[in-house]
Amino acid sequence: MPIHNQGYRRRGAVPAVSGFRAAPIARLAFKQIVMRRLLIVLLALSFAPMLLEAPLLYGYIRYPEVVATVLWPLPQLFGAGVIVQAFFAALVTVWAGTSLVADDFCTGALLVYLARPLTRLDYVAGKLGVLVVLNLVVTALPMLLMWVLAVGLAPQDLRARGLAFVPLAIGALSLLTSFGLALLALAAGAVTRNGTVGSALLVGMLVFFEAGARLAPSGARLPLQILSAARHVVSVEHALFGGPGDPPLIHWSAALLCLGLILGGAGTLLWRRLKAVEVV
Amino acid sequence: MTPALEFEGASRWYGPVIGINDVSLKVAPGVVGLLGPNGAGKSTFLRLAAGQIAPNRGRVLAFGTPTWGSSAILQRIGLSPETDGLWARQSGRDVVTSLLRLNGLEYEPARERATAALARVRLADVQDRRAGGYSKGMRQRLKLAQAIAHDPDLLLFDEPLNGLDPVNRRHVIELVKTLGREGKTVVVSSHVLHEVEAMTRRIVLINKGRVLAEGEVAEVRALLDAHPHTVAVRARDVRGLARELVALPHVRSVNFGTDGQWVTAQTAEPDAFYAAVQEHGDGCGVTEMYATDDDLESVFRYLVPR
Repeated sequence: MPIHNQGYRRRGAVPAVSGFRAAPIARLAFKQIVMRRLLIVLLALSFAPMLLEAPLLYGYIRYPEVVATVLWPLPQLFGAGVIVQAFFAALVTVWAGTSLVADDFCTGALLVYLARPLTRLDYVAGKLGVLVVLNLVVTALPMLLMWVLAVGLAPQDLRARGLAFVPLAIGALSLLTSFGLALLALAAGAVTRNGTVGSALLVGMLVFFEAGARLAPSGARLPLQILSAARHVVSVEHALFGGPGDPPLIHWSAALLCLGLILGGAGTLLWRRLKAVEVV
Repeated sequence: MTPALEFEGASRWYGPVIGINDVSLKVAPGVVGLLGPNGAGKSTFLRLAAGQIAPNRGRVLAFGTPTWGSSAILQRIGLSPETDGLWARQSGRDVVTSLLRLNGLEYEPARERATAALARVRLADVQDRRAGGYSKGMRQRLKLAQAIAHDPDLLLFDEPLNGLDPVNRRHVIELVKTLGREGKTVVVSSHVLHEVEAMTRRIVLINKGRVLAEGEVAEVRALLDAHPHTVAVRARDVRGLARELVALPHVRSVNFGTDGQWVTAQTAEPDAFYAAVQEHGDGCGVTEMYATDDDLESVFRYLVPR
């Protein structure tokens, strides 16, 4: 077959693009999420604990002697609050996160995305970014608002009550939780290629390891704790906020390492699935 | 000259299953039909061409650049995959606009191009309806619209006529031909032979991951010497003609048609056969003659064992 020179042809094609291009895919992912109205309900629900926490906080500031007898010290209250919010972030992630990648697999949208000037890294970063931001809205934002309220009520107590570093701790723990949940959800969606099954897998794993870590006989408890992402988050929370009760079985540094390995495994799974998009 | 699409000894396998095996070919501008039975490797071929999967061996190049790992070259490629059900919650125009933004366009230009592309596939009147409510044929055209919207030079269409009614089928065939005439390289995958034949005479025939043949259907057919060519001849004196034909050394068999007006002969040398019919035909009153097996169906039947 003759090969023709194409140089003379008029081209109406769009110019070449380069660089990191996660934003367009994030925009698409965001649209995909917000089009489902249940998100509004879940987001509203995630702010509900504030209705209980705000009066508690007020009581703590105004009547510290009385409240201190029944509640943890103030920084620990924020740590526990982040863990409560992490539960709502898990709900949002289970509902919206797994389908972000799974739907693209099962509808074939992934084929269309990756046939455009978009790397797999752009794709993952875009999806992950949206989910992390959404989770941060659920975990960090309410607790930061609570901190503002606490400081507003008693600005002079900022140092005395150990509140100065609380925003940093809230940010760090929220980021860790949000990123971890998002990555696990995307990996579950990619492995199952079905949003519902992916959600079931994610919930099953989180619940199984967490329940096992708490309820299993003492001999079997450590391996289950090592595999429980939730336990590791609690260990880190304990370290950051000086959490109440006995220190966790796994030291926070080991917990971070285990969490890194779990998330590394999830990331590898996600990546391998994305590199083998041919099986739809 | 750099070909639009080039496979250099490309192989791709999935564990023990071979997708395509040592494929080397060059595709020039125009429409090319990618033919093969189900599981032949057509989709693997297209996904390698679209840079979605890497060849395990060899290279796949678009305009001289490897398609795998080079996202910039994808700006010049448009893919319409076989699967559908894309983005059910958005309108058709939003779907194409969103995808165009992945190509680096701002919102307004993307919107304008999306509108134009949807008009080109005759979806202008339903462009603001939710894509989830589209019929299968509409979804098929939506996929074509997103593939052509950024005006790529290399278009890869996987089964583009699936689900289309006859009117839209004709329209899409015309669209594909027009794109080819505009200088685009259009690779159309199908297992429906007459569909491809309606779009182009250039084919790449693959089976079990290997390219069996490529080129014009007639050229490919001419290479199939193992199979005698079948020629039907209409004549006033069919018996006299049959006598003449049987005497020719390259004619292997002669059959009479049921209506007594046709003779069908199988010959190993079609050119010599045509010359002989021309020589003896006048006396037998030959009025019509045509080869019955130089179509795609026959090429496919001979090359792909059932």
